[in-house]
Amino acid sequence: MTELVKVSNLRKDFGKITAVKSISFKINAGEIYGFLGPNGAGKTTTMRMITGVLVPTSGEVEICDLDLEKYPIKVKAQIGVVPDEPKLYENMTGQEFLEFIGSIFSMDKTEMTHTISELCDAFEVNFLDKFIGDYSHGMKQKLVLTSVLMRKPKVIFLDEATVGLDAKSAKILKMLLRKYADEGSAIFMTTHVLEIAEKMCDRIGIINAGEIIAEGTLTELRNESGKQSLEDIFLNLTGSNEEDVKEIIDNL
Amino acid sequence: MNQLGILLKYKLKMWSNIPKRRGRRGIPLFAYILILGGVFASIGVPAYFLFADTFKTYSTIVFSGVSLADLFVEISMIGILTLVLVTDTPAVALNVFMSDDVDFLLSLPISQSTIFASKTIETMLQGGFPALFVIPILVAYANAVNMPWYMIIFMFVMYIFYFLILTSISALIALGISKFASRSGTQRFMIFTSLIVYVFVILLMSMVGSLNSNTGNVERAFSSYVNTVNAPYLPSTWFLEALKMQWNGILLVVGTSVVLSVIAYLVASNGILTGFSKMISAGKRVTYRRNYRIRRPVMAFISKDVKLMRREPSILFLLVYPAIFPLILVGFGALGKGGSAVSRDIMIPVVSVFLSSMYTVIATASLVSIEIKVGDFVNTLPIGKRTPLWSKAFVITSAFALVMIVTFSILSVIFGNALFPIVTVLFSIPVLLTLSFFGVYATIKWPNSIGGIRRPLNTTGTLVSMVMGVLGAAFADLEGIYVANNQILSFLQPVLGFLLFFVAPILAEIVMAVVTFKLLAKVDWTKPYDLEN
Ligand SMILES: Nc1ncnc2c1ncn2[C@@H]1O[C@H](COP(=O)(O)OP(=O)(O)OP(=O)(O)O)[C@@H](O)[C@H]1O
Ligand SMILES: [Mg+2]
Repeated sequence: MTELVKVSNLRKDFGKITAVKSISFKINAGEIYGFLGPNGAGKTTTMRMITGVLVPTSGEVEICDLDLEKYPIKVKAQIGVVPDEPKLYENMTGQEFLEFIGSIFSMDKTEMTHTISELCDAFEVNFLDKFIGDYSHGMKQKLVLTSVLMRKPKVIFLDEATVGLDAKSAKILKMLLRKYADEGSAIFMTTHVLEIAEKMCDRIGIINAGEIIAEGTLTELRNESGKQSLEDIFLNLTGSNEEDVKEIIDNL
Repeated sequence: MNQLGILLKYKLKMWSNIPKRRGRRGIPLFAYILILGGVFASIGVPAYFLFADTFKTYSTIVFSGVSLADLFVEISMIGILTLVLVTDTPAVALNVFMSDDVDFLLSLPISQSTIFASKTIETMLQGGFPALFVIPILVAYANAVNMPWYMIIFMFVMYIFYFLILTSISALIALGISKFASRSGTQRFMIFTSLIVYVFVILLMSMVGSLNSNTGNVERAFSSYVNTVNAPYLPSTWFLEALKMQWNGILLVVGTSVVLSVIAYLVASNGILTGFSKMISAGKRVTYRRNYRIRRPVMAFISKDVKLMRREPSILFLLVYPAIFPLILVGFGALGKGGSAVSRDIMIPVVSVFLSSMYTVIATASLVSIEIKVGDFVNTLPIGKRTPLWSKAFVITSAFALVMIVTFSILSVIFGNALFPIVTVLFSIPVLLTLSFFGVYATIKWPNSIGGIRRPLNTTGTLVSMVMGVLGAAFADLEGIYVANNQILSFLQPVLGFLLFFVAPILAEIVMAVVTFKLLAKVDWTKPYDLEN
């Protein structure tokens, strides 16, 4: 099995705060890796470091057998990133944006046109001629997804990608990701929707306060904790359980 | 505390929080005021002495009840009027109707007029700085005509009312724009501004025309000039009349000021919401092509930056000025000295290069801050870290060079003599490129994180970039003068002229470029606001 993503001892300090303590994990080709954790646990920070946006304080990242620090451009040519907040150039139209991405990644024109029209049909994107500044959150999210998926990257990183998507588009995204994984891509996704993690992810890592506190397939996590639902496992691991939550609610 | 006070206080807090978030100690407010005061004094005090002398002689030259000093005060007032209308009106429009926090503010239980007032005051505080520079002129005038102290206080009260007139007009026009322009049709802003400027240019030109046609009779020329500047419908005329304690002047200034302020406030109290909704609603579409165009990556970047520049009104404003202000200067230059051809041919390119240099820094800063606003995105692309910067510097430099070339071509067709302008543009291109990179550095070093794309630099950054712009422009102009106009250097020994006007500026330029690139290498342009290391 080929390991497309290898992360070892990744750490990030922001001044005195340590956002990520020491994180190591691997993702194989054909695998969807789910990254769960409470707000502020360090998921986005981890993803920014792996995608070459943020320089880690220490640790190594290897993607497609290339060291990210040494070959950032070669690595970036192979990956696709869907950030948590779709911030795009407001004064460009969707079409111009896709053109820009296609040019940067030196895509083939006919193939790109073909894939884009397929993806646009799937996500019901019919607003490419409008300015991005006039898009809704979900529309921007769809545009980013199209720009990433049209390239069929070897490794895809998604930060809470289903936020803002309507039910049908979310469903299609999930199925597409599964298909891309089956075709040999490696996929890293963070999410707060445990149901998505449960149904889609081959392996799950749970991060709390900058450290991975549990990792494995759903079955492994179940066996380890003795709980059935991922929700219980998650709450248990991150330091609260059903009774605590109940008490909080009652006190409110 | 009333709501307007709260809004302004919270803006001020955000302002003073910026250095703290970047891990530095905040600068106390009084230090800021001291620094600004120092800058103001260093320009204002020499200006005062300069004007005080001139006004003494000018005030004795009187024509049909108006002295030359009076005329000068009036012209300054017209200047301020133009400046406020041309620069602050679009700023108010953008700041009130297109700024990010208006959305949030409108959702709070605050009246629309309060939001409008706070936004307008905020813009005027930032953009009204030039209005302070009239103060030395006014004091010098008061001195020249021997005003008693209570009259000086009265004069400043009148000036406040006068400024209120300008603010209200500006705010009303901004409200008007918001009804007609949509966010996507941003170019309309630019057209609007250019129109105002053109009207003024035409006014001035017609004045000049009336002067020139009467060259034989200086007195008649002066009288027609007085009549034009002293037109009864201009607020500047009312201001002067008020200073002379004429009742109709005082009434007009105070009355207009109060009436316009009230109208602006009333209109704003129900206009802002509809204006704002129009500005944020989806506007014009660009034609949809089934065909996609694939370019080489670097070309894709350049073409993207050209699009972003074309569609960003604040950058377009910056581009329009170097083209239009020289024309205004043709007017003023001709007024002052009867318009000698040499001073005109040299003045125009010099002024244009100065404006282009200063604005190059700010325009690049704006373009870079668009990229910064998009955040991590660019970093995830497989391109070199420097590609986006080169592309921006290239786009901005070319744009300003193009504007100058077009302006100068038009002017040389009208006036002849194209050598100096052409040489100067050529010499200014490397300067503009360097300044553009300096703009990148300035955006990272002195960001104004609440100013957004429209005001990308904080006060320090704006001042520093102006100084750099002036220096760079001076270098290019000196070289241009040496190569194209060296007969005016005949007072110098040839060797000295060569050293001072050619070698020294080129060396200084190289030093500037090296320093800029050294500075730029030290910072990471991709994360200006992060607390790194
Ligand atoms: N640029 C920054 N400067 C300082 N601190 C930061 C910065 N970015 C993130 N942090 C801190 O790092 C920690 C982890 O943040 P991160 O965004 O990675 O959380 P997350 O797991 O993605 O949370 P969420 O589920 O809410 O998206 C937080 O405590 C945050 O305050
Ligand atoms: Mg996050």
